[in-house]
Amino acid sequence: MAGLDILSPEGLRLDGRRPHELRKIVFRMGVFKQADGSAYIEMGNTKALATVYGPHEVTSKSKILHDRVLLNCQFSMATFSTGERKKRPKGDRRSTETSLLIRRTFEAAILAQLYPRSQIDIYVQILQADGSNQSACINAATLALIDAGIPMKDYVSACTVSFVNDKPLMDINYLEESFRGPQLSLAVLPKSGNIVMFQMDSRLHVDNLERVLDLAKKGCTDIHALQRQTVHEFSQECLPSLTGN
Amino acid sequence: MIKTNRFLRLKTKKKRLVDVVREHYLRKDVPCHSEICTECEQGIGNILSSSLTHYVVPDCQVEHQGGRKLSTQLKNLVKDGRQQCIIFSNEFCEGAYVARQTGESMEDWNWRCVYNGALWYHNHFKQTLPIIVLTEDSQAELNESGKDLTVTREHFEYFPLEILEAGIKSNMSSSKDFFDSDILVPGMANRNRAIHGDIVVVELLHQSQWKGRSISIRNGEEDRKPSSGEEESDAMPTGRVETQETRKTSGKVVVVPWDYRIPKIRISTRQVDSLREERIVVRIDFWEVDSMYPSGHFVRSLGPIGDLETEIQALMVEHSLAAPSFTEAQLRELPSNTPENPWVISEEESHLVFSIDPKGCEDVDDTLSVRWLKNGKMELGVHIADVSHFVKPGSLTDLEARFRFAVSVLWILDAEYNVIKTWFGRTVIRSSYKLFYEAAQAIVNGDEKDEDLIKDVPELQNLEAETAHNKLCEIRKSVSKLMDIARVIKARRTAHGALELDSVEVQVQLGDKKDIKDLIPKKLRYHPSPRKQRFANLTHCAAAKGFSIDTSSNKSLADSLDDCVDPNDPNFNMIIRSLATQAMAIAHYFSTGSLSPEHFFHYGLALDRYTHFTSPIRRYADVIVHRLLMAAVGNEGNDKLLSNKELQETCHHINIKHLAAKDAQKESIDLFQSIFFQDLPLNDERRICDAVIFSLRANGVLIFVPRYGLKGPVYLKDRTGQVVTPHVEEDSVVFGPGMLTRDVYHVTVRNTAGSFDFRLFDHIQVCDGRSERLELQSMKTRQSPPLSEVELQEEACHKMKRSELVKEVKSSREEQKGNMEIEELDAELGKLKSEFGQTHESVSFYFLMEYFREMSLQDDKDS
Repeated sequence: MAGLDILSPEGLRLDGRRPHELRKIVFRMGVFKQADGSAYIEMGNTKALATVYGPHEVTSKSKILHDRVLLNCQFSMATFSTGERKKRPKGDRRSTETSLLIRRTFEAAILAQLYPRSQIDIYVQILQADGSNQSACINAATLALIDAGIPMKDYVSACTVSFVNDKPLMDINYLEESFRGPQLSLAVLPKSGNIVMFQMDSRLHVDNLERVLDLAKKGCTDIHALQRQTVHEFSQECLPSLTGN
Repeated sequence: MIKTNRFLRLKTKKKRLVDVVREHYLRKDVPCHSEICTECEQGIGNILSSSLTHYVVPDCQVEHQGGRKLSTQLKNLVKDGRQQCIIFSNEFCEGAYVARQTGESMEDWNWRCVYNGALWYHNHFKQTLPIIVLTEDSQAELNESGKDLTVTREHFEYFPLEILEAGIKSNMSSSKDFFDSDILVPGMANRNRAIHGDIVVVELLHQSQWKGRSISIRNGEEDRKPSSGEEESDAMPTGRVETQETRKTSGKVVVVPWDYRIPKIRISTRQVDSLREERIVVRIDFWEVDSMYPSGHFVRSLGPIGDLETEIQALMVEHSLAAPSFTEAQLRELPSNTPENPWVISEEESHLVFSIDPKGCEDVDDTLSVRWLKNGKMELGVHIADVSHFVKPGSLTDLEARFRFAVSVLWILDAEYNVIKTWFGRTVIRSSYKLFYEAAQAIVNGDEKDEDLIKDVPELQNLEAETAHNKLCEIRKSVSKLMDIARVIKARRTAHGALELDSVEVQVQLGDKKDIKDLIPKKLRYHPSPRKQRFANLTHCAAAKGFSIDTSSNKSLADSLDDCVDPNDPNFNMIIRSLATQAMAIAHYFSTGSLSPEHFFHYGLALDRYTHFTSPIRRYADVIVHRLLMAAVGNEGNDKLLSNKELQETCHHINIKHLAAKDAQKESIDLFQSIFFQDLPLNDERRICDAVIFSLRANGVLIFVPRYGLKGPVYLKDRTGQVVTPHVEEDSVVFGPGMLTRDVYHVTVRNTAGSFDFRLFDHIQVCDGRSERLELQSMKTRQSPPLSEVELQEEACHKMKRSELVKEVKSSREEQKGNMEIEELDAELGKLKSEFGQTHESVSFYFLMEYFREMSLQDDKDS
């Protein structure tokens, strides 16, 4: 069998997208009533659930921060999220790293000084993993925070971009991730354009960085538009219950 | 864009099965890459031109099973802008994609995808353009048949054996008389993997689909009749093939057979580098339905290409003629002349016995004797070495060279040389004289002095002059008598209508007695009468010169051939005769039990029954005749003799070998010829020679070169359509613009320099060019050969020239390779020499002796 080409000569990717196209994205907010805020996201076949608790009292007194809120992030992958059943849903090195990444991202986005000596918990769980897991988690967590009513500077929109055959590929899936090309995970505050997360593990020539970055920013902008739309729709839905009619 | 999912089951590295879900997006904007389409927004890549008549969609197996190499090839095709190839991403096209159904196999699904892709195209162009799907999968074809797409394949599967047998049986009676002619099977597809030499079953197409035969030189040389058929081979090709070139293709090698009628063969070998530039023997194993080439394996290497020894070996292998030496067991079986078992036959009569053979001949296998009886009659004896005494029926041995036993035939003749009595029996030869042809000739002519003659006869050397002289007179008397008898009998037979054909062998005739035939199955040689239509070319050629050929019987044919003499052109009669020979069927050995008596006759010799047994050392066929003869006259029991069926099989085998030997002989001459010309410098005058046109074709003529006995094509029009034109300054010919028309008796070339006619039997000058092809040397044509050529031919007959050619080749090659094995070459040379190194028939004593020998065995049927 002929080898798989990540990008065919006709300019189509393995799943039929063009290089600059996002996967089909679905957002839902307020999926759990018992949590303060929750959101569900589908980016293609990557499905993630984010729940936010807080702000509440700090559970461990030793970790208390007096000038700002304590952000507690936990990333986990459901044991059924991958093709082979995962043995440990959380606590492995990668999960811890991703947890840290998400925490850093939102520390930069949340107006932390408004809640000193308090704590906000963000729990993100991947229900089905198909690439760009970190980005999906950040996008979902953003909506969950909004649902919880946590004040933020702006939406946080994240997107993962790869670079194959001299072409940047937007929103890569698991198959494209496994080709081991350079992967850039980017999270921005769309209105200001500030970058809150910039994560890249492998090498990429600096000449190509510009193009990759541009595409990632474009992806983030597109996702932001979707997030906004979702929040608007959700607010419309919630309006009757708020006004008490 | 519609998002769907594809569900796959893949294997992990640990060989565990994992269910994987992949996204699959179907889009509306997949371009169709066609110029005639106005709707699609064409992206990058090739655009199919609007001038194309149809689109071909290959099966998915092409890409999936063809391997990485083929895949790369396809990609390169697409990259090449001239090739008019595109990739249509049917799996992402909304209208063309079909989801895999549960339980559907991958192949079926792939095929459905391809089919739907083709269907999409079909509908995309509003059904105006034919779309062809190429596939090898007959099942798929069945599933989708009835729909509006054409489905084709490269090869067809063979019919099952039962169907074939039933078909053959039902058609047997009608086909026998109807299909007297050859059947044309045009093209690779119709040939369906059959190769040259296969026995095949063909299915005749309807008469409306028959095609005519091509008349241009390139295709039309084979004599084929206008009919056409589809073919089912029932014999698996197992052939031996020599290759002349090897080409490396990633581990597997494609070899090019020596015989151009056999396709290239794919073999896999690890010694590609050592086999490069070598001639090798390859065996064809099988030919897959979906393969362009048959697959085979390497058997052995013959040696480097171009080496004389290698080429000779290649010839032997090609005609499956093997000559391994005898085993110990075979040699032990030979009887020897021991005291316990002496070579003695009881009653001995003494005859003056002598042998006449070519000079240097060591195997004296036949002797002659003449004795005068009291009443004016004479006794004539022919004694052939009895190899069958040494080669017992059923023994391992096939051949022996030393012998004394003989089978003899004695005739009593009256004064008019009519046969009165015949006696067959075993004798012992005690040859008195070993004469050579030249010596015998000289003795009869009486030109030279006796002393010189005595020197030539080894047996006379030690005798005194007086005795030697007496002996010589004795010999002279006998020999002249023999010649006399031979002449008379020859004349008598010619009157009966025996054909005198160039290169038709003339051999010994044995009239059967009725009782012999009834006793045992006999082995005869028959020569069927040729078909009428085969003479068409001959009569046509003769008509060009104004002669008519009567082919109604062998007598009338012989007479008309004798009449065809052009006083200006000595070559004319020779060519006409050789054309007649071509029309003849080949003589075959057969067992009398297997044919009805009316088929026993020999056409060429005008005899009712015919066999030969003069050279049992050389021919196994003669050994069999010896055995049968001795059994018939009651000398030995016939319990060990072959049955009719066995004999028939033996005859069949001998026929095949005989043909193979003939072909090999012919090709070895070609080989020596080409080496001869290869070694000549380009400007050598021997390259330029006179030639006679004997057949016309649409793009040239077939010619005969009398000096070398060559036949070959001369192109008057090359592939680009240019015709021969005289060179402006030099006396040579180049190709230039013009036109060429073919008429009944001549080909006309019109070019810038005027109009030139090439008539049948015109003489032209040709040159053996660089490419080992004959090229026209001058535009001038003559009715008769140029003077220099006539002188050359008179000086030495062209056959002599040939042996000269062989010698020349031999010597030049020997110079090149001092350490070459000369024995092999000598054997070859001897063979060639024995055929071509003879003096002309009319002046040769040898031929007279040969005639005598043949005649002598002819039993008078009236007696």
